[in-house]
Amino acid sequence: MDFSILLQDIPTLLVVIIGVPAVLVAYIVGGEYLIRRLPDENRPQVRPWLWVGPALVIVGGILLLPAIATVIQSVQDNHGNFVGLQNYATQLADFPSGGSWIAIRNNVLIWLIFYTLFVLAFGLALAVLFDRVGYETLVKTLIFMPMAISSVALGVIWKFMYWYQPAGASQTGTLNAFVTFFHHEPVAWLQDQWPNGIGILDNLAVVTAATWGIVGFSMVILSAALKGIPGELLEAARVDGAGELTIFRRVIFPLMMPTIVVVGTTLVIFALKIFGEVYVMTNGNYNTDVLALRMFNLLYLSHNNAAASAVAIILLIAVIPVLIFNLRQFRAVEARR
Amino acid sequence: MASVTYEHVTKRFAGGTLAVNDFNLEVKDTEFMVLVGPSGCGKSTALRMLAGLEEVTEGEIRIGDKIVNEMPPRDRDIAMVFQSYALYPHMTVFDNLAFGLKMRGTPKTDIERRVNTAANILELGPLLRRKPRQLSGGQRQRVALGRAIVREPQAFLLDEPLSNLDAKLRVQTRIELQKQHRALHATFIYVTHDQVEAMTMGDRIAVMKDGVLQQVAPPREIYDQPANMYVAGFIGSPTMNFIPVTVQGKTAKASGFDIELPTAAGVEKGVLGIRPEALTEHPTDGHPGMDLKVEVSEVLGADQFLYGVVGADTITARVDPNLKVSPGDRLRLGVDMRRLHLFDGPTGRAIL
Repeated sequence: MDFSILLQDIPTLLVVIIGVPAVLVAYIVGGEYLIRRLPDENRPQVRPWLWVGPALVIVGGILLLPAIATVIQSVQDNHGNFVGLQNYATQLADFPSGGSWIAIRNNVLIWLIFYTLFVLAFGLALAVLFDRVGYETLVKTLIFMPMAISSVALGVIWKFMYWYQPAGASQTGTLNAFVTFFHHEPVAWLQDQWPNGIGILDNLAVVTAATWGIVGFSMVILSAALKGIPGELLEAARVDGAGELTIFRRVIFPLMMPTIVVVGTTLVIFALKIFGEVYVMTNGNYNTDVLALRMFNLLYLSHNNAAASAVAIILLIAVIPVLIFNLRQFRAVEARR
Repeated sequence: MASVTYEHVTKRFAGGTLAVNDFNLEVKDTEFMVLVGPSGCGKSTALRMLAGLEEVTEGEIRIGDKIVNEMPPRDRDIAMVFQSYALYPHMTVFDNLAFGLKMRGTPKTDIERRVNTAANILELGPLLRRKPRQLSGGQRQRVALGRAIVREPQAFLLDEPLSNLDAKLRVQTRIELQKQHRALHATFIYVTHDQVEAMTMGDRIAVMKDGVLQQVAPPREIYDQPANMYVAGFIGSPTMNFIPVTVQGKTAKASGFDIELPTAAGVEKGVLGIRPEALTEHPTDGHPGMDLKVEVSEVLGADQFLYGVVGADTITARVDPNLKVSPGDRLRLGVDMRRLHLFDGPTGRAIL
């Protein structure tokens, strides 16, 4: 490999390696020097801001400013003229199939509900079922492994799983090889908009693939919560006359509830942000579009910055209630300690 | 109410550990039986087998005249109080008490009546709407007991229920438990490692060691006639003095003194057992006594314990607390000849 480019730009390299830390040290030393010259009673008010300052600048610079810029762009056209809520109106026009409505429906109805539900249900089932077996560690490691696969690789793998050849041709997709083995017609999993073109089947096919990738996460956290329940509590319930199912319903499940809520809300945010799996497997075709992908396509394919900004803000608005709920839940758990 | 019988019960864990070995015990109806021993002696395992939380490897456990080996816990009609209390943290005190009754399909009005009765007995009335985390340790302990009481079971199993309480509360609760036992007129099986709890609460005490039952007897008898050196050493504080002796006819020779036994022992090597309170500053008839070289003196108000050596043997004696003794002093001790024990050297079995 050619590293000469690095040598050509030695001044830049020096600035990065020496300059950045030097500026930071100078900022702190200089700031402290100035603070020490302040009257005693003002120092405690000023000093925190000196230390929090760099973090505030970075968060503001890479999070807050772009967000504000996006809001501004979403009320302008692509030439910078103010157009009010015109961009939003376009995205929300022609309910139920125009604008962003398909993407909103897929995010809010299919992904938010089914993805969250599948991941929670399977995660809980796996955590409970493998809790008391000897080969628990092995199974859990295997189930956790897909977490290490990127969403793009995961999409490619599952595309092969769902691969479709017309009836009569030999099926290279694992799932259709299975289906035709039992003398059924092959199914175009990623294109079939069952029922009646509404497109639940192909969306669920993508949801299933994404579930496979993330279920280890919920399993591991729920399993930790399960192991946190003292064994004597379950024994007490057994002596009290409860069967294993009742113990799960009346003792284990309620005690795991705070953890389930935390995992659930995290998954809701994941569901709203979903992008990679859809991009690779269907690219949003056949009614499988989602908001993040729509924003990406509007920005990089259509070069419609204004419309993309409006979609981004719609997505942000959808996430905010979940974030607020999550923060409240977190505070409630803290208060109980 | 019912009796509980263990017949040749053995528990072997998956790793091959023998937790309980050929355990035989009959707990009479309404008896307060205490299983006592050091940790790991199998007492908790014995209790958990009775509760149905551990399987029986060999032998038979009966409640009343029903064999319960294969019976799931819910059909055994027993109630258990756990060391950690094991209260359901997400339920109120009322629901904690009512859970066992609900599981058995008791009608709602009955549940309410029985929970309120138990709450009155244990003075839990004002706490019924609280959650366990809002209760003190002593209150939690009472809820755990209440959860057993409302069930009106055949037998109460208690697994070290007092060990999470502070010293003062433990004494109060110990007395409270004895009152409850009398009031409920029920069979209690109580596991503890604390010899004081065993001595004060049990109608009878079963002493266990390494999975083997050593002796079952009323507290007084365990104390006065221990079956072997282990029981003699485990019960009593400070522990009994053990002095190796060689026996010739009726004479036992220790390193620092001789003693005349009431009868011939029939062994050559033995271990003499004398409790500290049988070694005092008062001379005894028929025995010249022994010379104690005092090393440590502990004055506890009502008692004074002297630790020292006689010949080559370490000895503890209980003397008058007003006696002025300093380390290095020599003191003539008398032996209470009626309270002499002799154990067989190799086996530790009591001979006298």
